Amino acid sequence: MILKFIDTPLDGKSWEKLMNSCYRIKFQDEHFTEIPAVHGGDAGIEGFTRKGRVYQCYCPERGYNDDELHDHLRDKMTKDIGKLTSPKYADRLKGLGVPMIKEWHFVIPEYKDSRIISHAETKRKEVIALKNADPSNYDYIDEDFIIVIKQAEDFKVEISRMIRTTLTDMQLNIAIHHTTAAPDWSQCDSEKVENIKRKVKAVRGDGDELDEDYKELVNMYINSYINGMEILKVLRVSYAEVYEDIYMLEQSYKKEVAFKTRMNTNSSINAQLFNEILDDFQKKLEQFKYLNMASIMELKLDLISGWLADCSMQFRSR
Amino acid sequence: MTATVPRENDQLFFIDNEVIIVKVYPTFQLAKVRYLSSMDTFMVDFHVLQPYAEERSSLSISLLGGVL
Repeated sequence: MILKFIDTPLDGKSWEKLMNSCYRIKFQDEHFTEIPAVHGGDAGIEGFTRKGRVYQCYCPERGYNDDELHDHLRDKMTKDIGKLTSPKYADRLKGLGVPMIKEWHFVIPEYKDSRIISHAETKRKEVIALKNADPSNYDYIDEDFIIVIKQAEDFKVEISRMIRTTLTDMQLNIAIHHTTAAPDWSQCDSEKVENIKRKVKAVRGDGDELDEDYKELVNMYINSYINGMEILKVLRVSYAEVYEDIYMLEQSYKKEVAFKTRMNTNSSINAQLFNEILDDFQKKLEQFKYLNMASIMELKLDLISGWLADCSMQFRSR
Repeated sequence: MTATVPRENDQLFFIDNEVIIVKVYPTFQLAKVRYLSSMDTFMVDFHVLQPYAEERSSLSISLLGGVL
């Protein structure tokens, strides 16, 4: 099943700050040194290590199609390699004590196709050719110089750790696009579907299955139930600590929900009780400061859908 | 995060994109919305809708891998 995650704001400054922290963690043993872009500029790089790794961050605008994205990545790489090989920047790099450069990292959130990899190879060859043609002026570039493209995924461990322990302002987004289309019924057990239908009726207090609002709500909860299972599976497999945080909260609150709803014998307050649960659960989810608000609401919707589908949440029919 | 129940035809922000409220389901804390440039609707918990665009950066889990 393919989840369509929502594209959320990510600006260049935040990206750069996040990557500086990632490089600091990842290359601490190489004496990572950040270069602030003040007092003479950053020499076209964000930082370097004593083993000759330097890096430059770039975060493209959102909404580019694949061709536009490639064009912007290519142009930025061309411009920054141009800086690397210019005499003005060479003096600055040497003045900062940057050791002989073995690797130049181009650090971006993602790339969509191999064209940027080909472009990197083209630029690498150009740099080597320049060095070979004029070794003394390019003595700061290693003869085995390479260009490496780094994506967010390459720093998954560092990012997950920093986001979860709020060592960064950056939040995580797990919200997906929810359509109003009919669900894929094959992905949902019929008993779960009936549970959801019964409980939506009980909360609404209206038993008309032909009502369009009723049908939309049922479809939405079924979709959220299916999507929710998929999102939690992704978290369980790839983001164990985030998953554990959510799982522990869900398991403990589910017991409260079961108790509250089963103890209620007055069906006329079903809606009120349901709203209290929604409000209270939202407050509990908001403790996860590393999740953006869209993600909090995603979890609220998906987990509530799960409780409607199974036996955790019961409402007496009117 | 909006604390009051939105109304139909209100224009609010879903993260950093403007949306129009098509329908509200107060009992379920849900709203059916659409982006200004599209007629396709989708459902959200209306507490996520704000009168201003979200500016704080966030990283989609899809960028970190492990997602199809």
